[in-house]
Amino acid sequence: MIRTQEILNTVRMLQEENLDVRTVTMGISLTDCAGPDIKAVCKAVHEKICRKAANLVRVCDEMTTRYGIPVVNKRLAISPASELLGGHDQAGAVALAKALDQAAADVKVDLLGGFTALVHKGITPAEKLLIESLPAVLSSTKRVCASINIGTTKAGMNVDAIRLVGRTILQIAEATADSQGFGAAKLVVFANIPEDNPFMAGAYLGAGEPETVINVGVSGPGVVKRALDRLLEISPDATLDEIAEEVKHTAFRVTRTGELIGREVAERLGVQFGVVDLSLAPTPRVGDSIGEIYQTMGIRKLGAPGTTAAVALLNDAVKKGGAFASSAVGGLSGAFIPVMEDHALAKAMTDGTLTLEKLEAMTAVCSVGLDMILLPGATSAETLCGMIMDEAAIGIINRKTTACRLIPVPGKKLGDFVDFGGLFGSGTICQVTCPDGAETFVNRGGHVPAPIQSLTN
Amino acid sequence: MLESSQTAARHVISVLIADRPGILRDVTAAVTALHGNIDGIRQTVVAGYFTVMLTATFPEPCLAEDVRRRMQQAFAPGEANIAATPYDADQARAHYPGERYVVTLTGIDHAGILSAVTGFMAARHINIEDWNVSFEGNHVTHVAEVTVPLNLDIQQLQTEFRHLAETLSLHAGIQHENIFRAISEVGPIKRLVTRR
Repeated sequence: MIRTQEILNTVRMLQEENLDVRTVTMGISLTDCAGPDIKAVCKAVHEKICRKAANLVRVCDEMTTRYGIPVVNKRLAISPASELLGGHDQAGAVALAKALDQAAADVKVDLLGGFTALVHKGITPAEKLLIESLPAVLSSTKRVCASINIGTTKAGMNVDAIRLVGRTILQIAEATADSQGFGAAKLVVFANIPEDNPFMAGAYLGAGEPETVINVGVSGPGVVKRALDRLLEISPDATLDEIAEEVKHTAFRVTRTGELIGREVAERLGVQFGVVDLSLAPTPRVGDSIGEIYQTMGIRKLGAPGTTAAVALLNDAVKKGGAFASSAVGGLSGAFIPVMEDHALAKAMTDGTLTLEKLEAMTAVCSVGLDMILLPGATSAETLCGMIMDEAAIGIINRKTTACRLIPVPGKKLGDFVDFGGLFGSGTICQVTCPDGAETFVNRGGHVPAPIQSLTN
Repeated sequence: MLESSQTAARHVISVLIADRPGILRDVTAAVTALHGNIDGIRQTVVAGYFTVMLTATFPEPCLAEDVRRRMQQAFAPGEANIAATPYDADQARAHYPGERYVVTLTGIDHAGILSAVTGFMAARHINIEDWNVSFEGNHVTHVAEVTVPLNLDIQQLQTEFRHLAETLSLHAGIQHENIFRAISEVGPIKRLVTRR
């Protein structure tokens, strides 16, 4: 027998706090689709995705009906597409991307991740081809998302690959200039990329993962924000440890909800359940913002001294609640700070209280990194590379994931406004305080050796 | 079906009485004095009135009326309304086939809500197993646990139930119990899912 008060608490979370499941992502291995004939590869890829994911959306919708909890996004993550490109050319890479795009459309998912290359220690011809094809791929597809892993704690940092990626980001932006460089928003550059992350644009299916798997991303930050609002209504002078406790309890509930939905979807589809990712992923909607949580905690101006501590408090409390709730926690599992996708963060950047340097500091204590950052179109490849290297260094040294989604918007300059619409949001072009001066360092290329932290055995 | 005039070892007993401290002690002491073992019990207080329903098994078959009369003696004359009936396992059907859902209704209280909603449930063979009503001023909250037959389309049921609630000016929900158990309990989620 469930207690009436517990039922009413849950109903309140559903009705007033918009409890949801942010994403159910099906991982599919496509390694068995590789071959010398790209047309056959494309056909096999399309057929396999449509077979494996045919019922994904329908079953997720059944869960929404059964539990009254919306599954906001249904997505796909494939094994690295670079594994299918050995011996092919750029036209083949684009054909593959279009086949993936069509398959995603046919099974009615909005995004497919895994146009991915793992180049942290070295780069194969297929991986180089994948990266060089990204301007054509991301400008000719709607649903395909890409990611590149350029460093790990074990391997160090592949600066030659970063230089290639830096140049490619500029080319992607130019290739999608008619949509304000939007193609770059579909590319994430990682250090320590997780193999089971369900969130886009960085989702892919890692080498150690099952043939097919369901991974789940928990509800957004709105639930946590409203839980804190309620706490502060009752206890306006709540201390930070009381705030952390409230976050922890709320994280427990959203994690349990996510795991229930994920496990039931997996069971109905007859595939393995993977992980619950605890990351609080904001959307541009008011009330669904990470920045608002910090404001509720008492950071009136985002970026003010104390902001990094607030991020750390939130991130830690979410993990503690989630880790107790489920033994299947994975993915990124940290608070996201994607600037454009979070109206409060975007406004703070526009107002100038939040700077890229402060954001970089914040990424040392949360996931993921410099995410959805609008930069001037004239930003140099070396500047992009330096930003990527700085973020990667934070991740590599601290044994955590960091990443960059940098968008140099063609024709735009500091202070200009850009709106991508929908989940990708809007914001103002910003700039690092000192955008040049490290070209010589970046252009030395080579490899930043694995740190001493890698020697754990 | 067992007749009340038949003897039985197990009986269902209910007690209705104005609430005061010590009632449950008096009820259980009376059963114990008859050498009965209480093997099922549910008690609540509604608007100052205490009610308890229990099942008890006795060493020898006995008449329900004898049980009722002996228990009545534990209370002052006219204080308690007591009923007893032989337990009939065939009639009881402890496991009604279907899945458990939680029904919630909230809004401004008015006459006819329970009649309309329970009529809706009965017409669809939905078994109501628990119903709780609480008030805050003129705002009412109903929370019920029900068993929905497997052959019902849950989406259609929800649509029709929400429509009914709208006609009653109430906000309604009907959700599978697992979501409430998942959030309220600490056991492995896997156990809930594989239970289906």
